[in-house]
Amino acid sequence: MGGVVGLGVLLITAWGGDSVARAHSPTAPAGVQGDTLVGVVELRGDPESDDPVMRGAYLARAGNCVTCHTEEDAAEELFLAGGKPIETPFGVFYGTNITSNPEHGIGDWSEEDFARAMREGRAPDGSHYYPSFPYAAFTKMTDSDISDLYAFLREVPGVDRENIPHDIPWYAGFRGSLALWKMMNFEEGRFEPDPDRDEQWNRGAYLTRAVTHCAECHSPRTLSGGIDEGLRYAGTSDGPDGGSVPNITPHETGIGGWSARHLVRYLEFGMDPDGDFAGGSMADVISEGTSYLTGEDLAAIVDYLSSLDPIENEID
Amino acid sequence: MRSVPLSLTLAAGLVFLVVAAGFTAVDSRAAHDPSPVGLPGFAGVQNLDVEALVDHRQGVMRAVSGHMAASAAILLDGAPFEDRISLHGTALAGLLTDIPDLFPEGSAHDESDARPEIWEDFGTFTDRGQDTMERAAAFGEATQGGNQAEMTQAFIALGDSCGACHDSFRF
Ligand code: HEC
Ligand code: HEC
Ligand code: HEC
Repeated sequence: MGGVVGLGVLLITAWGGDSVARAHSPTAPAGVQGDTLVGVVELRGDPESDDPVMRGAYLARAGNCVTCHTEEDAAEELFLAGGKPIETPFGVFYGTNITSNPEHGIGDWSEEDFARAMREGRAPDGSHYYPSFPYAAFTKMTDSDISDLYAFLREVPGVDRENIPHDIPWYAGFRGSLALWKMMNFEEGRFEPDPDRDEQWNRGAYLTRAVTHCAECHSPRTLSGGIDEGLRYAGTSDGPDGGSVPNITPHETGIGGWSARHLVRYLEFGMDPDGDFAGGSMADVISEGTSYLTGEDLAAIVDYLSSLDPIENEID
Repeated sequence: MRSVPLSLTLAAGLVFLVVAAGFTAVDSRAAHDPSPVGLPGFAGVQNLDVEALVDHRQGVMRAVSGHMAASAAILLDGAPFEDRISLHGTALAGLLTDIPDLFPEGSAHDESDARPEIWEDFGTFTDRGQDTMERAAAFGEATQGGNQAEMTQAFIALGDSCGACHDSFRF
């Protein structure tokens, strides 16, 4: 793992900051108090920090909140201000404004409101969210992580920007029927560590299942739109944005041929063992999300993935 | 018993479809038939061999990848071939000088992963290509200098730019 650590150190010490994808500035002021916008945008976050804002910033990267709630190539002022199209063949959902603006963002939400959205997929007025907001995974987060995220989001400068209505057919605009989807496909609950496994595995399992929600894209769906449990992580040719999503179980039709080093490098930097570079939605997941994670957390995710049952499923 | 309004039943049923379909694909590739190429330099040549163009650009991309993989092994994982890093740097700089030219109008093909957006927004595509070409040149130069931190930084910047183009322009 020496190379990986080396790369991490390099990013910290020698990053020029002119990169498209990863101009992270890990040296941004710790404990940003919302006074410098650039500070919040560039904040790398730190899972070990004493400051909940720093821990929350880290989780916002890990959970891909930034990827879905910030428009691509948008000005820094629009950080987490929504407007990012999430394309589906049925229409386009738009990530919402989750800045601290009280009118258009979530600035007037209590911590309970926020926890209910993350855990139950419900808005403060009780209505249901579409599962394109991956609360089916976030429901498994710990109370303290949800609380840290809330602390961070309160520090994100409010942006006075209205949400773009989802571009979906009229019948899908009826949120009441989402209750049916939830009944069939959603179970509220917390992540349960496995006492027979070590700490690294449990950390990886938690991050993968509750936070980074890899399975949301890397699994086929049943007719009712839930994850097909028998093929969780086994990939699908009907991915969220129309393309195929590879099998990431350790089978030869999946990532069986990848070493741990290759997997970590891919999540950190997007390069696969052949020297090719990820595209599609995975490129966004990496550049706005996993590339911000610590070497230990990436190793934990890889440890967990490698322990999955290998599933034969050739995706072309 | 009051009957449930039809529209509600419909809505409830259909929302399933929407939710499910949120994860179903449409492959826009099928919509784009390969068509003859009209390169300015090839005026008069009908049905220029698109397959050959695709084979060529895919070959270039794979060659580039090979140098990226080898460079990563040397720079990031310590494979003991520092003396050869400039070979890879020079090759990358040399191969990555004309990316937009590899994608002439009309060179979409069944066997190609090139998205139609390339030709719908050739300006952005060219910008992405330009970005990569500049970074490849910078990496090539850094490998002449031999400073480890500089080389690694230039290498990572180059890799990021490959992903930035694939993100929008490759299936
Ligand atoms: C895959 C894309 C995606 C990811 C990842 C994602 N969200 Fe969202 N989020 C959405 C969409 C789409 C909606 C709107 C859902 C709706 O209208 O029913 C939403 C809604 C929300 C809402 C409700 C906002 C409101 O105004 O009612 C909150 C809060 C929220 N997300 C927070 C988060 C946080 C925190 C994270 C990261 C831990 C996150 N989201 C990750 C897509 C995403
Ligand atoms: C938004 C959807 C999405 C999410 C979330 C996502 N992925 Fe991916 N992933 C993809 C797509 C699409 C590809 C194919 C990329 C390409 O074509 O270059 C991919 C590719 C990969 C690959 C390369 C596999 C191969 O055989 O080439 C790995 C490994 C991977 N993802 C792991 C993960 C892990 C681990 C997570 C969670 C931390 C994750 N992904 C989350 C969509 C996603
Ligand atoms: C300006 C856009 C652009 C840039 C920059 C770019 N690529 Fe590509 N790449 C593409 C497109 C488009 C394709 C699909 C070509 C096709 O199938 O016709 C592709 C295909 C590939 C392939 C697959 C070739 C095959 O066998 O089908 C590899 C590997 C690859 N690129 C590697 C790289 C690497 C490594 C870099 C950076 C050094 C890079 N690319 C930079 C656009 C780009």
